[in-house]
Amino acid sequence: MCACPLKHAATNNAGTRRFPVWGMTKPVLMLFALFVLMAPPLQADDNRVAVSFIPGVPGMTEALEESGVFWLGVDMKIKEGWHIYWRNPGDSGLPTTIRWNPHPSLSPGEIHWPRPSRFDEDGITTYGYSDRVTLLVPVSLTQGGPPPDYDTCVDTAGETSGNTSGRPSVDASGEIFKDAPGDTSGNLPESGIDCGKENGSPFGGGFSEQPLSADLNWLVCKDICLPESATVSIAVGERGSFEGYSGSGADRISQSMNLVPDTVEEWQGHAVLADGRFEITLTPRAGNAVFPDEQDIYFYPDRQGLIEHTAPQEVSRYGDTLAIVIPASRYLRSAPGEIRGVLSAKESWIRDCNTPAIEMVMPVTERDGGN
Amino acid sequence: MKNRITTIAVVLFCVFFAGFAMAEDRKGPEIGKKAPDFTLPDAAGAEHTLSDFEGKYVVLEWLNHDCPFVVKHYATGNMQMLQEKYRDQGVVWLSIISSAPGKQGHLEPDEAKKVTREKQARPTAVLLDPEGTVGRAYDARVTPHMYIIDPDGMLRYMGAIDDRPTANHADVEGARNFVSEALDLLLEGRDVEVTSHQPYGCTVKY
Repeated sequence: MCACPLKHAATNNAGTRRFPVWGMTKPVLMLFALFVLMAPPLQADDNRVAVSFIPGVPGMTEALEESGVFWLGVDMKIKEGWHIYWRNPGDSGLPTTIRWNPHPSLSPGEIHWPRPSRFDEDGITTYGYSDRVTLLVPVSLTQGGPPPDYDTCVDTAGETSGNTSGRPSVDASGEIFKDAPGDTSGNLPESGIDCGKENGSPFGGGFSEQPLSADLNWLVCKDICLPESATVSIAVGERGSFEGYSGSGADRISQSMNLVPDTVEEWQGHAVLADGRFEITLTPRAGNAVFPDEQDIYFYPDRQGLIEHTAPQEVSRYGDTLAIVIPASRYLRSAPGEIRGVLSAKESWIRDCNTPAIEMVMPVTERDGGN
Repeated sequence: MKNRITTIAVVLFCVFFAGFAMAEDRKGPEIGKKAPDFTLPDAAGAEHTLSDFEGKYVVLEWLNHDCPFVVKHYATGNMQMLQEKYRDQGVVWLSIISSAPGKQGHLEPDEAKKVTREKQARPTAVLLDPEGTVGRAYDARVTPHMYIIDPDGMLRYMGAIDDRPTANHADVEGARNFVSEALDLLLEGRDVEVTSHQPYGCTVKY
């Protein structure tokens, strides 16, 4: 079998025609500039939220080198005083939705939400973001790839294995491998890709240069709420490069990723529903679990109708146990089998890690309170 | 000495009952219990009292015509359809505006008349609650926030209008409408299946 290590193919060809625009004649360039100037705005100027896509890798070639999946940041800059919503908006509001337009080479997954903030207003509590948030979407390469270059097609299996860039990687389901460079989870061949389509590989036929675009809808609120929308896209250049890629963009994605909660091995929890209150008990399961300061701890449930969002949450520590007592929502009709959500704190929940928010899934048992 | 003890006792008594009253206030109405009675003027100045409607089913709809979630139900004609359908079956439908003066959705009587006509809304009455007293008594948090009261004055449903918490007009069709579902069951003399559901919408602009 002939395997082309992608890294070699990329470096061999990148140098010569890197900036195709330089080769344009003056009239063509002017025409091009005119088109750019005349392009209709992609989102209304009077929107309170400006949205853009940030690619986490320079292009599809690099994505293929890593694991075939990369992070796309959905960067939302919010006008001062306004806020948008988390996946559970709380007592009112709506989470941002993204409707992707089909793309021949790219398949975006579900939104990964950074931990939210809490807004108390008019006697209700909502969960969301102000100022700026970068939502993360894992994007998988479905087909495409550099055209086969048989001259450089030599078997160098092993040389390019793994994620050597230091960038966080993901697998197709969106599981995050923040600290696991080299873990490609069996998605794509670790040591280079197949040459061309001769053996049925979807890769190798060249990347589509169709822009990746989506229609976004969100609700933005201050004292009033306004539904806003925008069509956002990212241009794909020759050899699958993403326009607008920058190191600072990749940093932005890494920062945001630290705020996306993961389920962790270090903590376990369960909840009891009694007397109209959830009593959550958390215990460390591994030695590197650490207790953050109780006064900063807050539990964000992943859906509406579970807890009274407005109610204060009583957090206390008894030895090796953290207890959080939260009044149940009056709209809760029966005990749920489990309660999911994000435990947020100021400090990390795990020693030597930057994990101020963790995702918890806790079984719920109902206890008859006698009234 | 005796005076001081009396004073302390009175203070403690007041603190206890103030706290109790506040806790009750926060809790709001409960399913299967008596719905708080109230009297509010409509846009024409006529007063309507809940207990006067004894013997009839009453729907309370919290309203703010500038709220995108309310617009969804009025622009599609969904709310008007429900109002007409159930009023034809003898149900009393009261739309209540609790927006404070100067806040979104607040309407002076003349404006309320005009907007109701423009929207071709068909409630029994649009009631004005600019001080938010009735809204707070019902713990109405969003628009639209819906309540159903039975002929004995008992609360039988509270919460969302349907199961699609969006402002998208296309979501009206195919949604499970908890209000019409509950009313249909009640009018057939049956029990309500979903007696409460987390409401969605804009916050009430108290």
